[in-house]
Amino acid sequence: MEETDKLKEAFREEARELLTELETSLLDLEKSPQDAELIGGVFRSLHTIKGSSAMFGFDNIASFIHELESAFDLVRKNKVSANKELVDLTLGARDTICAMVNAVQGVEEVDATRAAEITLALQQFLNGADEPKEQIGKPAPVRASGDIQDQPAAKRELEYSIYRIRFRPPLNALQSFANPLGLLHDLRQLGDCLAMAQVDLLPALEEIDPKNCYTYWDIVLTTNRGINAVKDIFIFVEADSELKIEMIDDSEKARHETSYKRLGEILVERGDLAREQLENVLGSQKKIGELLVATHLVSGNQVQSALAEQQQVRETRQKRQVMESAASVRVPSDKLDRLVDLVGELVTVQALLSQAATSHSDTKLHTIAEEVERLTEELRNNTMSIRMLPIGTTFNKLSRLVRDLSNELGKEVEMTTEGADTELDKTVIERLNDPLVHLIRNCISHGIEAPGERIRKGKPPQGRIHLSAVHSGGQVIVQVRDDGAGLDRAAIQARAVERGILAPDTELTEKELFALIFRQGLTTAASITSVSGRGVGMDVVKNAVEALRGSIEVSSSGGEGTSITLKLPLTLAIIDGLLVKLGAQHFIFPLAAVEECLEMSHELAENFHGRQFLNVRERVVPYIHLRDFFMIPGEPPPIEQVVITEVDGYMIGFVVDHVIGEHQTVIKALGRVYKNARGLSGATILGDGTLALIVDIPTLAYSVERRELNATYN
Amino acid sequence: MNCTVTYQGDREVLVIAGELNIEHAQALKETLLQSLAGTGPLLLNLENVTAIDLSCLQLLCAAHRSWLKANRKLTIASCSGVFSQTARDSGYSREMGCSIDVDRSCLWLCHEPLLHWELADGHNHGQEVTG
Repeated sequence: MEETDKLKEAFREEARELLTELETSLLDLEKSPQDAELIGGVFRSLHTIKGSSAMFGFDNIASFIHELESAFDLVRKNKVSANKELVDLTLGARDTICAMVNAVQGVEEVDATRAAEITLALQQFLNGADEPKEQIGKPAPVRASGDIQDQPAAKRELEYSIYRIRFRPPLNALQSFANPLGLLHDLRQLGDCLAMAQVDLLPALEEIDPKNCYTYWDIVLTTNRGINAVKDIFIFVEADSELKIEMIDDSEKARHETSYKRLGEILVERGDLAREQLENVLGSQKKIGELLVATHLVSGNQVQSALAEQQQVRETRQKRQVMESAASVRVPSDKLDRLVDLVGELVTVQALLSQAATSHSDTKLHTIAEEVERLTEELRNNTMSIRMLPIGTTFNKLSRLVRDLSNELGKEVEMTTEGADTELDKTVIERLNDPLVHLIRNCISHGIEAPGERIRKGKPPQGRIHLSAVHSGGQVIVQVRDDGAGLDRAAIQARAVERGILAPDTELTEKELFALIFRQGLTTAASITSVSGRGVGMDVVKNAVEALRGSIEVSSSGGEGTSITLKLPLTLAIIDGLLVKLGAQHFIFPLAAVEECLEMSHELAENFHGRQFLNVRERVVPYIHLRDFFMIPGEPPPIEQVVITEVDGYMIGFVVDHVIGEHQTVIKALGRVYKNARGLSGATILGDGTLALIVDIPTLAYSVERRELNATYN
Repeated sequence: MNCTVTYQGDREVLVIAGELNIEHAQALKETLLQSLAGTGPLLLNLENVTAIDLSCLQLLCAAHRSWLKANRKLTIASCSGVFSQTARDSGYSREMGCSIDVDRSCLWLCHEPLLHWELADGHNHGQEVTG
């Protein structure tokens, strides 16, 4: 990738992040329109995107944002309020900016008509405000490239220069040209500015000409805008003034030095004090500033100004050090994916090494293998943790969906979230988005009733969707709960019968009945009824969740709402597995689903009319012989073992030949040829180089369930 | 600009209100010179100053020096927010007056320390200088 492409990619990444922040701030602002912090946040996001866009030559984006920025500037100044109209417009504009940013990559096309409509609507909105129109209609200033202001915020904070400025305007400054106080004001816009007025040239009252300027200034300015920006401030006055601008410190110097010059050195450097004078005074150990003032070598003001310089440089350097230590690095996600792949390979090789070490009696080799194992595990955990992202970003996207969809359907819905900082592997988060969108859509379109109907039912007019995420062992439990109409059992059953999925008069448990909503035959219908039941895309949800090695559960109380629970693995790349053996073939059970392992005995196994159950501590657990399921030839050993797992709250046993033990499993996808292999979700390479297949427990459990169902009805 | 003079014993109280800009600078100078012609201390009440620019800040500073030279006291009794903000923005606020301000009566002394003094050994010892 060329340097320019890399920079453009960095811009797109930053823009997307800022657009996400912008969306969140806008949604919050809609709830608290007076919140100055939120208003400031929206303004800053817009301002930064505009600046970066202009810097990278995306002038269309910069000028599109300009109107919005103006609008929020007025909001900041309390000249207009952030009402629903403005939030609506800005959310629409945010989507257009997002499309513009994606269009840079050719990913998306920008709807020019929509963009023009938004601009027009914004102009109309602004024209309605008290602010004079000409200010609002100003074209977007495009900054020169290379201007540090336009760099990403984190970098900008770290890059700075400190300037020492002595500015002495001419005597007639107050009558003839720009007000010196105005210049100080402009300097403050560039960064941290400490100005000290020097008044030693000021005559006594009797002699003063009040129209003359006798004051001059010593200024210490910390800025990231470059010396040209500083010089520009004085451009119209420098010819008549005494102006000295020196760079006294910058981020480069600060990298190598942490302390700063002593007071005496600064005064000598400024020309306020001769070196010999300083050395003479330094004989004593009193405060040097006081000594110098007492000996009338420099004035108190000059000392203070030098101290200001010293303090500002020291503080800025300290701040920089703190920021540098806290700084983060932006890494393209494909590089992270590659890293995870490599760690996966390393885990496999490490297993080979450990196995090789076991077969040798070389203690040195054993020690090395153990050390490699320890380091590999640490590396694995660290690498996986780098890819962990909080689920909150997905939640934020959904709150926008809730807002837009409820507006569209004329419903009032409030979404609350819990556990937004719960972390999941980035791949899981990315693939979780679509199922959650489907679920929320269903909640709003079919679950939550219209306000009138809710009032009739004695509910508050505003419906509620609660989205939560929580860690539970090696899994994350994501729950979508609403207080809508709930699932209509009769309607689901009737529709299933109508579609031929279910025989009439079939008696189903609640769990079995609710499982029907994930069947494709039911999902294509617009809805079961207009007020109850769900359907649209629920099969998509189930497939997506299962593809993530997760499971889905539904519970519902008629009239009170529905709760859908997704159980997801933390990661998709490496899992802790339980290695078992069937004949010569190895299999892996995801350890998160394993409850316990038992020896298969006659006392344990019961056979009721050909149906297989275990009696585990007075609990009836159905089981399945994996040998039979996978059609593995040969005789089973005299004593078999059974792996008890939990699926959707039910216990199911799997009979295997031997349980070998825990195994760090690097998941490899099965090739396309095995795409339809039932009961398997992947493969892994064992220490000796042989292959182990990963058991897809929910599919196997479903087979067992079906078998039991068939046995029941036959 | 409006000026009102009252007396509290031998102390003259000068209440200045309104805008103190370059157009008012000459009038302000004359008012101050009249007070300087007196003999007692001068107390300035700037509570109702709505704007002030550099010309008038300079005048007040120069007046203070003249009072000091005459061994008399010139003090600001109270001032408006605009006044103190402009004094800060213009760089007039400070922790230590000029060399003739031996009794620390400088008009621009701020009550919060801006800086810490450095000892001759080159270290800041955190000793605060307050006005």
